[in-house]
This record gives sequence, structure tokens and C-alpha cells, in this order.
Amino acid sequence: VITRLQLDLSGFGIDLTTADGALAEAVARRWSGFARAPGSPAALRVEVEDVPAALPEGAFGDKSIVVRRVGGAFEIRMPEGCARVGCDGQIRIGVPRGTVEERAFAVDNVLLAALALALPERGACLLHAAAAVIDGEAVIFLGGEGAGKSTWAGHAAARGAVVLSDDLVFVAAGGGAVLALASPFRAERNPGARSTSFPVRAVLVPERARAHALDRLGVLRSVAAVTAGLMYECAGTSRAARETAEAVARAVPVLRFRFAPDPGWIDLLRRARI
Amino acid sequence: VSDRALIVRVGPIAIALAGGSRDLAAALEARFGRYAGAGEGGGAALRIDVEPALAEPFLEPPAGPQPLEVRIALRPAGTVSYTTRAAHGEFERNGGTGRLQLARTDWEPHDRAVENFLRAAAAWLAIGRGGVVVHAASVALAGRGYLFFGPSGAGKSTVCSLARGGAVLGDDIALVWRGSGEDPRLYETPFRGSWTGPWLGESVPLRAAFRLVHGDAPRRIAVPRALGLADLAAVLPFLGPAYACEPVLEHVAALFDGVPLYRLEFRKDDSFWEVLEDPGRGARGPA
Repeated sequence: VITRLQLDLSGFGIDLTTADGALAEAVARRWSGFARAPGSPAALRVEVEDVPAALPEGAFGDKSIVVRRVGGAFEIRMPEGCARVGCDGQIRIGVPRGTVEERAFAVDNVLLAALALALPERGACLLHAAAAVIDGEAVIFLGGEGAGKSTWAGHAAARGAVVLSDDLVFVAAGGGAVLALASPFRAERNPGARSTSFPVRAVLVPERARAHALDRLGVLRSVAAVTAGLMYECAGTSRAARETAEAVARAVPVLRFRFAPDPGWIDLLRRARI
Repeated sequence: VSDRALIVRVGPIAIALAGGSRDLAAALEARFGRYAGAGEGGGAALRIDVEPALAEPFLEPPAGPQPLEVRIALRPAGTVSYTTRAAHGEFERNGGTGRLQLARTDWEPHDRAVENFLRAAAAWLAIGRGGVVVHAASVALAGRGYLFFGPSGAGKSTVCSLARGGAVLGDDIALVWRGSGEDPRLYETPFRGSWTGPWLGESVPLRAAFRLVHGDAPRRIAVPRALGLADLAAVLPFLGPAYACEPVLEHVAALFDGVPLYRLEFRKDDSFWEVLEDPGRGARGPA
């Protein structure tokens, strides 16, 4: 028996099929705010299959990922599993045997990498960034490990902002608008997360400092900063991801953000004419 | 006799390597990634017969640490002779055939010795066919190619490591190529220094070229055209004897026609992006 989940990643329809009913239930729980109305079309079709190997010990601590381009497709290998992302929107995910929760977690992680490579062809990219909604608009705080994303997201939450994620955010650029998408990935700070999107007010490129300051970056540095924020080697392997990052950088203000460890930046950002 | 060969592609130039051990072919395929593969070699500009590695080293070892000694000579018949300690070979300068002998030495790995020979062959083939091989780093951003050059220590590798977000097409050897009636393009080449990022398989229009200069602030400095071309001529590897038979400088001037040439003062951060398209604060003209 094949189970089909109809999912909606804030505007991008995804059909996910698997022969493992228990796994489908676990995935559906993770995506509970992101169900799609029956009958509406899906841009991506995901098939989840078993691969004949056990999950390696300590797999989830190992962040190694290898992405290869094979013709127009991408092949992804990571400790949790593998995926083939076709240019036709067909994604095949393989996860090893394990408990249902382990397998659901593996599907999440592999699917995330697959979406990072599949969505740029459709106008969205995945950024290593925190994102918070302030006065109805999303503000994106770019940065890798140690950049201060969690601290920053904590400030935003303390001042009542909805934190879409403190680690990664899908951003869609098209028709002149740039939108930050709510997603079920790394959304622990957004417990009621559901399918929705917010116009992006600014992208922040943080530098730690004693006092808050914002300066607008030039075009090339903006494009470089957003491109460098692409997750999963997308900048190295996917031209579409680079083009989407460039479209984002050209359409919204990218600001160098000198950032001190207090929430005062929210007032600075509100006052800033950008 | 098999016609199968290892085909190495440097932009639009294909070089076929015939013979050589399986180990060498495997090492070269690993080294050149998507730019090497087995093939028939029919369309190759140059076919090199690689002979078994039996010879004694061709040059004395250097007295101390110094760059690889390469001797290049042009024979009257139009054959280029190439000699290092680990390799000796020759090839027809406008393409055709050639041969390469490797020495029985572990002074330099064979795949690296072959790469150096291929760099020289590519440099000669390019200069005769509408392109040039430049000792330079190349980075693409927003669909435009930027070339960064200078002598060893000028900062080519540093620029690549600071160019986060840009796509590094190469950190050591760049190919600039102009198809007939087209604007010059910057190609990713199989020849890398220490860069280990993914292969991109791309070329982009060449937007500008920068001679790297250390500075304490990012600054783009306009230079007289002749000075810019002279800066460039200083970083064309392997072509010494070509000046006797080819109008190298005229060729480079024509190839880079329409491409701005600058000096770029940079410091060790990514702020140089700000001035590539814009002279930056405190910019000054030619001294």
C-alpha cells in the first residue's frame, strides 16, 4: 500500500509517497501545519524508498554531504541517506532501516537538501540564516555556525516577533517580490508554524561589534553575501541557486549589521530608512 | 593498436594523451575531474604519445627550494621543446602531434609532471587560436567573470579564499578565449593550485582584469592601457620563445579589447567586492 502525503511548503506543492505507512504518519506529524488542499497541483514529487543499509552510528552528528551533478540532475549523499533530484521535479529519496522516528528524521534532512537543489529551478533558495517577522515583514539574518543566529532570534522572540527559524529559511524571488517562507524545518521557535510567507524587508550580514550599526552593502558584495549563505554546496553545484540568490540580493536591501548582544537592534531596524 | 586516449579539455582546446600507465590515467582523471575522460581523440587539437617512465631525470636537482625549473625552446620547424627534471617532451606549436617522456624519479609525481606539460601545451595552443592562458585567479559573480593576476605572493589564492559567494573558476591558471565575433570569456580550467572546491563546468563573459596589489583598503586604480597590458604580459606562462615568432602582445591587446584593466589594492577581507565595479572611496587615477 502506497501512502501519499499532499504537502504545501508555503506555496510550493509537494507530493510525498512511501510504502511505509508508519513513516508516512511520522512525516505527516512533522508537516502538520503544511498540508495542501486536495486536488491542487504539486511542483515536486518525492518518492521515499528503503536503501539496504543501517543508519551509521553517530550519523546525525556528521554534517558531511556530497552533491554531484549528473546531467541535469543532482545526486546527494549524506550520512542519513541519499537522494536523486531530477530537473522534472521528481525526487527519489533513499533512507536506511531504523526506527520510525530515526527514519522520519532522516527523510526530513535528506528532503531538506533535495529541496535546496530542486527549488532554485522554481525561484526559491535555501539560506543558512535566521528569519523573524517584525511589523509584518521578514528580516533575514545570514550566518553560519557561531554568527549569532540563535542569540539574534532570541532577541526577536523576546520582543514578540515570530521567529520562522533560527537556522535556515527558504526565500522565494519572483515577480519583483521576495518572500520568506514558513517551513517545518528547524522551526522549534515557531511552534504553530503553518504554510505562509512574508515579504522580506532586509537581509542582514552580521559582524559582532560593541554597538549596533547598519550600512547598506554595494551590489556585488550583496550578491556575494547572499550567495555565500546558500546551504548544501548549492553555490558550487547549482547555477539556478546562484541566480536565485542574486535575484534576492538585487531585490531587497542587504545590510552590513554590526551587532551587539542586546535587542536594541530592533528599534534601529525600525528607524532605518532602507 | 587502440585509438583510445585520455582527453583533457582546456576550454575549447582538447588534448589527447595516448599511452601511459593505467595508474597515471587514473591519477590524471582524478586530478582534472570533469575535464578528463577516455575518448577517441579524433577532434583533439594535439595528440601526445606518453612514453613509459624509464628515463633518467632530465635536469639536475635544484640547489635549494625554488620554483619548478622549466626550459622551453622553439625549434626551427615550429616544434616546442619542454624540459623539467621529471619530464621532457615536445609538441607542434600550432597543434598536431607530440610526445612526452617521464623520468624514473619520485622528485615530482608523474601526474603533476604531466599537468605542467599540459599547461605549457595549452598556453601555446591558446595563443595560436584566439585565446590566452594567464597565471591568474578567476572568480565569477552575477554572471560576470573577474580575473585577478600578479606574481606569486600577490594574492591569487587569498582572493579565492575571500571570494565567498563568488564562484571560483580557478586559483592558478585561467583561460581567456574569444570566439570569432564574440566577447572574451573566462573559462574554468583543469589546472588548479590549492583550490579544492567543486568543478563548475562553466565559462562566463570576462568583465574586467585586476593586477593584485596589497593595500590597507580596497581600491580600484585605473591604469594606462599600455601599463595594464604590460602587467598582463608579465603573467603569461611558458610563452617566452613565442615572442620571437608570434605577435603575442598584439594578440593579447586584441583579445582584451573592451575589457577594463585595473590595479586592485586589497586587504584580507571580502570588501574588495565593493570596488570591482566602482573605484571606491579614496580612489585615485594613474600616478
